[in-house]
Amino acid sequence: MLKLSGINVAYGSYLALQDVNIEVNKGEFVVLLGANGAGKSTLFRTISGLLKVISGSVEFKGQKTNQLPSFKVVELGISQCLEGRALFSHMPVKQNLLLGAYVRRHDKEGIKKSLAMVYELFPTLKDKENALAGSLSGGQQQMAAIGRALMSDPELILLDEPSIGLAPIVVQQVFDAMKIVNEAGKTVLLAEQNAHLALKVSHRGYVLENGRIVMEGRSDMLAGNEDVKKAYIGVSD
Amino acid sequence: MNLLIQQTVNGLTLGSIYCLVALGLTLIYGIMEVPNFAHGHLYMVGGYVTFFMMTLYGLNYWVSAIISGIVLAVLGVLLERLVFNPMRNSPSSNKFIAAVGAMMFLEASARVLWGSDFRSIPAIYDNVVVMGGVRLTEQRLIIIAGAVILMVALYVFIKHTMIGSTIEAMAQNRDGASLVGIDVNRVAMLTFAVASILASAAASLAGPIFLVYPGMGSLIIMKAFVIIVIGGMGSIPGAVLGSFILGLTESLGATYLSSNYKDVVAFAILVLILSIKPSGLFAKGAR
Ligand SMILES: Nc1ncnc2c1ncn2[C@@H]1O[C@H](COP(=O)(O)OP(=O)(O)OP(=O)(O)O)[C@@H](O)[C@H]1O
Ligand SMILES: [Mg+2]
Repeated sequence: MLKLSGINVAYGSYLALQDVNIEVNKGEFVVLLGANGAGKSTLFRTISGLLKVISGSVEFKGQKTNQLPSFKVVELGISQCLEGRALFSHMPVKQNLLLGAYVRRHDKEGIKKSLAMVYELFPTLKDKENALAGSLSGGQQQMAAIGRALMSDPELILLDEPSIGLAPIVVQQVFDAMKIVNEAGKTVLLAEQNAHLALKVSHRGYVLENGRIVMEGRSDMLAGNEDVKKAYIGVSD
Repeated sequence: MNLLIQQTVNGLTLGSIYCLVALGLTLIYGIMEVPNFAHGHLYMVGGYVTFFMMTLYGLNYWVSAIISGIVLAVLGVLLERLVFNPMRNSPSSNKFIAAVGAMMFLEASARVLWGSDFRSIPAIYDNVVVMGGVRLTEQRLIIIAGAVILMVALYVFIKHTMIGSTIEAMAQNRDGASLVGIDVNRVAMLTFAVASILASAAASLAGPIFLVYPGMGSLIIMKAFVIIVIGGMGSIPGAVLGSFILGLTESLGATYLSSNYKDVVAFAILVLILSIKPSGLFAKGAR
């Protein structure tokens, strides 16, 4: 479904991604592991068209997307929940969610259904629908951001470190929600440092280090790998 | 007492004009994060277009004002495409210089094309109405009513239409807007068009009372800057409140102090308000 072939991305003269190859199949839950500064966000921003490759290609459902502006990528069915959430903080939660459905703004029925689905996934959002997004707690903001990304009814959803800065119980809630979303048929690509949980919910994973993919495989296999344990789980046996 | 009411109405008239210009300036600032120094000059061109439509082509005042709005919408979009959009990823100092360049270009073009004379949009509503002992020209009432109608229309557009809310979305989070599928280029053009229409409306409304001349843009842009700084950069309610504070104090200050101090008043208020609330009355939270 999503295929990155040999992509290189640079900030000025600094090469942040080098020859990255990644493939995500329909219905999969794939995790991208990497420490701070590994290039996870850079990779996600490239997929969404916020950054341009200097070489290589990004294909979605067989169509080359790396020349497209972001809004076209969203229209094709890729939605992203950015690191840092990028909410419209002076707008109410509900308006944030409705703007999430901007690409299908004429589909009133579909929007209603998606909104109900998001409220079911995160009931606190329903209670807070009239509160300004900026007034929510960190965990609630993360839920609002994920909810907003789901409102366009994407085929592929990119989640950039949704667990960052959240209490363990909220992290668990967010991961459970992602699992439900995946089981409902959406393809998920998740960037995480929290390998322990991420490898539990995902099918496959990639490990990114200094802008290069250094390992890939089934999640249970990665979870058993000594290097991964040392670097991303913090325990080894 | 009558003098007080009279000057209050004059202050509201002035505030209305400032408000239409400052709203556009603040909308553009919100999405570009750069002040559009040329905004006052869009107001100036708007005044000329209305003037010429009436005097050269003999068109009705309102028809002329609408044509001026359309012409200015196009000019605003061109300004965005040719000056601001290419500078999108440049350092802000470069954007500042580009905006100042656009401003000088517009003023110089106006002087070359239309000369430096002061002109006046023919007044058709110059009857005097007496209300509670206060004498007002109809045009002043039209200015206030026109500004209120446009402010309400803008409010409804931004708060209650999907297209209008994209302007706010982009101002609050550009990446967030891109990733919900908003075409940020289109929003930038839309914002310039809306802001330019407001500026042209201000000039068409003001033209019969205040004059039309090439330097009118520089004067109003100074005021509009003071207003959006007072109100909090990028804040819409701040721009409205700031405009009326400025309009009223200028008008009352000129009456009760001395009209020589009229333009000093603006800066005195600026200093006063900023010393109490350094980020303006309605500072936007962290982005
Ligand atoms: N706008 C930028 N300009 C220059 N360099 C950047 C920019 N953004 C990121 N980088 C650099 O690119 C590299 C990858 O950054 P990126 O944000 O993709 O990492 P990450 O894996 O998402 O890290 P984190 O887990 O901290 O979010 C880092 O070395 C970073 O310093
Ligand atoms: Mg990151």
